[in-house]
Amino acid sequence: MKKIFLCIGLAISGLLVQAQTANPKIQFNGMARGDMSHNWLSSDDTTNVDQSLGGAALIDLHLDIRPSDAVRISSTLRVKNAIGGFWGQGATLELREISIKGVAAKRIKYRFGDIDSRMTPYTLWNYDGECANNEADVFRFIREIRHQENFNYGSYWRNQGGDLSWRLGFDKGVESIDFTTFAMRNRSLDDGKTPDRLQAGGKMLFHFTDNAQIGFNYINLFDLPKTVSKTYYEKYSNGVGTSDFGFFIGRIHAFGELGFSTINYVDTADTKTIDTKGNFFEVGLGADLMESQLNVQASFRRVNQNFFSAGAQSKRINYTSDVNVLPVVGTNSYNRTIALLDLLTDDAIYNQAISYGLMDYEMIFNNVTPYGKATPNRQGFDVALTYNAIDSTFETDVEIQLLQDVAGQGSEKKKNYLLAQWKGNVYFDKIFAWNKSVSVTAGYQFASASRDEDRVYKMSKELVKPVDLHSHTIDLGASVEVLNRVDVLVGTKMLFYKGTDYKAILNGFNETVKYQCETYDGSQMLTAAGLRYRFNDNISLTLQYDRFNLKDKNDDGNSYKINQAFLLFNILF
Amino acid sequence: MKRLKFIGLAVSLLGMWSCNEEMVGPSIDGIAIDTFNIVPTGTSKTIDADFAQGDSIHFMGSWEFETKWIITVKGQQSGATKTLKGNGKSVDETIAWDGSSDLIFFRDGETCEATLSFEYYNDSLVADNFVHVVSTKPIEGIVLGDYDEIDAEGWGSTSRVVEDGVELPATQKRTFADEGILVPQGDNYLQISGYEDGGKYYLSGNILTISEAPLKIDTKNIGSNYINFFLYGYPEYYSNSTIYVMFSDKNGNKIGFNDRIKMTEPGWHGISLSFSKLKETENETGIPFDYSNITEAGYSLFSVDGTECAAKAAVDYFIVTTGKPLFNVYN
Repeated sequence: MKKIFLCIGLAISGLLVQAQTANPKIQFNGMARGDMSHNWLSSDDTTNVDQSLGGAALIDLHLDIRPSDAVRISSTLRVKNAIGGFWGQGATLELREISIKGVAAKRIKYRFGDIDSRMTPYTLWNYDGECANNEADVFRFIREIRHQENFNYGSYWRNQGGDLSWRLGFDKGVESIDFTTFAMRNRSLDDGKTPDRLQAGGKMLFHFTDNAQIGFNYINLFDLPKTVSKTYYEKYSNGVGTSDFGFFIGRIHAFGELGFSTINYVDTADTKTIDTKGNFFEVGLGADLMESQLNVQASFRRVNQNFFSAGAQSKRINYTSDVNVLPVVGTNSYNRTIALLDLLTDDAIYNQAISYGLMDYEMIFNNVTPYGKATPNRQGFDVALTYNAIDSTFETDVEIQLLQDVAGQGSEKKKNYLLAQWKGNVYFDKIFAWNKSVSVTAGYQFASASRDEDRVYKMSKELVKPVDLHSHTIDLGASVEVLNRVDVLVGTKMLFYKGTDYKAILNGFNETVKYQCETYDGSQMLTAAGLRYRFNDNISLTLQYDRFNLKDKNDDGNSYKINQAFLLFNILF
Repeated sequence: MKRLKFIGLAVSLLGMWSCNEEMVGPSIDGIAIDTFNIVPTGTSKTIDADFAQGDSIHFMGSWEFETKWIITVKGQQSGATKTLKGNGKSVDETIAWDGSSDLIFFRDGETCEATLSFEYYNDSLVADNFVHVVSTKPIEGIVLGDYDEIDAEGWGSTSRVVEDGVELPATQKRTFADEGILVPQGDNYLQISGYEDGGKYYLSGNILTISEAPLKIDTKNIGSNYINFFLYGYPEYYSNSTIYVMFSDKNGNKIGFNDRIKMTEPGWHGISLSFSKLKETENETGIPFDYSNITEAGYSLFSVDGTECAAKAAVDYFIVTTGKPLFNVYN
């Protein structure tokens, strides 16, 4: 094994030397990281496994090969050695990504392999994970590592497939039309029983002027039933068609999108058939004011209860995953569910695939828009305001969404929702013209769902309870450069939640099987302090201590505390 | 033109917004059922049950919380039902159906469906598999008349019931197709009717001849012998109609139920009457009624207390059982 790695290492080294010297058509860069974490439960938790250690040293080698001016091949090789894998025993070598892209006939751009794709928030969109509203630097850089590890670059989904794009120009009426089309493999043949599943689509974007455009989008997640050789087969299809537009008239701009979705499923064995149609629309107005320092935006949207868009509603976090860090906790010795700590530290809970059904979500994090803008069964207003000081000393955003169910969930009455998010950054070094950077970040989110119910008698103890779940998420952080290139990072992330809500339990086709009543009363608090030394802009060493405290007031046996010490050495080259 | 298009789009969106959508999913003020099936579940949707050979059928299911549950098995041909009840939040294989029925009988060869419901809620779930009754659970007893294989001699007065201008015969065999009434056993039942015009006498009835051998009742345990039969009360007549039951021995002595059987609601009733309730009504020989030599049984339709009115009922499947009654004991 060691010899294999030695050979590979020598080959790569040779390639790199060649890349940097002899052949400018090959370039490389990369990233190296060493991390080590030690997690331990509080001393009063004596019933469970107390400690865990983890970490790895890894190198990502990114090769950029240009066989011709019109073709580019990119790949990333990762060599990873888990802490404890002494002398290469725990080492792995993996191809993390590979893609080919280029321009054909000087007109058509193409990409093939591992590609990042995005369309609109209702068709293909990787919605941000929960509780990431302007978090402190001490948390942000850890979350960025999670995103890098899981290929979550902005709102793009990483998939394997290919795409083409080209533009046609016109003399009259329409300035140009941009075309994009793609096909990606969502699921491979499984044991010869489950067929291949692809996701394909395209976009036509009409540019009338620089300030007016209309797009037509279509995406479909579908099976190829004949990839399995059996008499009976299943065939699934989720199609979404939309049209989006944007017009600027001076400082005012109008925007919107409307469309439909379909779910078709046929199982010829049981002659089971699903045929569901959904629709949505969003219209809004925005304005840039005060020399574009202030941006105001207001919109109305209605996403009906049957709207399903696999590409837009798949979640970044898989809430059915087991947690990896100290999974059994509390005096109840129960398997804990995903908490604030895991959102930042656990790679395994991240989802990398488009899901063909609505994924589970955690109501206490956000029960208003768990699937982003495309959350089904919501209608209402969204008002957003962004202000950036002209001297860049501070910036602030506020967004309020007042929503309601389109159709009652298990009740004729509809739930009302409020999601208010605020965030702000203050840069003291710029205010006071200090040489060393000092900044404070803050974020706040209030999410609530409410529905009055006549307290219907169910059984001696069971009542139909009113919905009154609300949560507060608070982010505070500061970054202070105390010495040259030495930063002190502190931050806290707090979540308080209380109330009752009913969660829809769905079958594979988003049909509600039942409603599960959940009552919460508790809090989660993650506090961290760290010291970072920046050798230069590309190399840094961070030592950090985190303390996580979860309190369950309904059952104190579920409460627990986890401490974490964390060392990260990060190099970009 | 552009303005018209814009107005059209705005009206469409407004229409979409104002649509009143139906509630999503099951009502939360009910009970959510996770699963309910007849076991064994498998690839076949139909489970064969030979109740004559001692087979039994089991169920598995679970639901939201502990409450009083009801499983109803219903024959698709006979309309017969069997109800099982309990309290809990699940049923497992300990819950069994042995082929018996609540009242009217299941049929050989028919398919039955099972439904889970609850005493306090309207929610229910029909199992997606079925029971095929290969043969029904046998009933031990001496059948005196079923109007299919064992017929009976009818009688009736000349005072007839008139319905829609047509005089009904005093007795007539009827099928499901005739009146839309489920037949408790076999294909036929006997309708009996008559008009009480003041004579306070029987209006119609039947003699059930015990043809092959005399019926023998153990005199030491007379009370543990029962005459059982189905009695149907027509909605407009049940409150005016009563039934008298009698037996004759080889000497012509008779015992009967002088109180007569009354109905408190329409529909089929299962009547089980202990022989100990039957009193001597006619004895011209001076010899006590001979329970070891019963040669005839019979029943008659009367109006309640001899009131002048029309009376009408239907009967089926007279059977004498020993040890336990077929239905709840009358009185």
